[in-house]
Amino acid sequence: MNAPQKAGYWYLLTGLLLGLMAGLLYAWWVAPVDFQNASTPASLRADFKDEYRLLAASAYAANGNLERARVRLALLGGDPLSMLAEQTQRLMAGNASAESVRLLSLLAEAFQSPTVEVANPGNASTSQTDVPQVNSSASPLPTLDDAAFAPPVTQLAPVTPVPSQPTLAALLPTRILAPHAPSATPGAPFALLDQISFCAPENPGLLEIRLLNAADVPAVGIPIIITWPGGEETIFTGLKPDIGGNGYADFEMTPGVEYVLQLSANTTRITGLLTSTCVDSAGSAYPGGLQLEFQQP
Amino acid sequence: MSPQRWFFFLLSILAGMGMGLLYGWELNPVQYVDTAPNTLREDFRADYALMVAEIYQTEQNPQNAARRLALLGSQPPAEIASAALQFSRANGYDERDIQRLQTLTLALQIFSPAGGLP
Repeated sequence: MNAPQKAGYWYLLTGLLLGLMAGLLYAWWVAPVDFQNASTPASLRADFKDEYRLLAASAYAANGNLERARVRLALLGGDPLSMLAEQTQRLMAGNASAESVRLLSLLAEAFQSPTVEVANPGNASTSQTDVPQVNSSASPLPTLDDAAFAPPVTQLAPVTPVPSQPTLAALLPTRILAPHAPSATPGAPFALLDQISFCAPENPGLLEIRLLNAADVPAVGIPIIITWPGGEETIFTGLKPDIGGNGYADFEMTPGVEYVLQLSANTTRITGLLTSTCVDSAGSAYPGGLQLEFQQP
Repeated sequence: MSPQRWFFFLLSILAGMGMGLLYGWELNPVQYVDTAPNTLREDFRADYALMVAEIYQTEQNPQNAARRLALLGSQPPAEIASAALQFSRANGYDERDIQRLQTLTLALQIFSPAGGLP
């Protein structure tokens, strides 16, 4: 009497499993949720994310609104600063346009140094309220499980009206109105803090450069132009974070050649950079290095 | 099998299907990765267009703006900008942002890719 009863339960379970499999098959393969016009920036392909990041950096250069740029990059997922630095390095390695590198560096520098924003009069027109807000209300399109894709920031919405607005041209600093000017970084030009000769047989003739911004934070992605008779090379800080941190860059000097270093759109210029002469423990001479430390006042 | 058992068997299949659909559509839907900007949700599209409008305000280059907007779909750039403008109006964007989108839309409406501005 018990056996038929148990068989009854089994066929119910079998039916449930068959139905479950059929339901999943239909929901995942036959008619999955239509994500057309419903994806988030976090789900974009890597190259489109790069494009999005560059667009946000360009928009920041145009409007000076750092908070808005921060929210936009947060939508892409990951750490915005490291993503910016990584993309900048990739662009430099791929010989991309200097303008793209400059825009990304500008935004990275602004993220690192809050004082840059204070010094930026462009923000007078873009107060905290002028930032895409997180809106937990219903989406205009069918709601998706955004948590599965990205940070829970999804709805870019309406911003609070701000009272009066001076003209953009009056508010934006010159460096923004002239985007093609070779501006290395926002803020004041870098000033030389220290210049030391050193002897390191493992790195003969190395010119080490360290940059700090006004907030004492290593300045990443800053172009440094080094010229010598018959040659010129541009190096960037932050490409060797494992050696000297984000504000570090180096260059190998040739003994007997005099180098000139230029920074901050040529406003900072150090001339007469030469290797020194060092002697190792065996009595052999080798070229010594130079350490230069700069900071924005 | 008795008719009653057939009935419960079919009922259990339907219940399983319901659970499968609920799980596959709502609880754990298919996750798309490596999407293109043309699949972005409407509010993200509007913000993308707003970025283009902000850049246009400084650059004043409709060709660059059209090229950037082309990532949002195959429609004419002016239509994409116009859709973003409508979204911004309907969702109470800041007046300056609406103005930026309006300026961009107007510029793209009179822009012809071949010959530039008439």
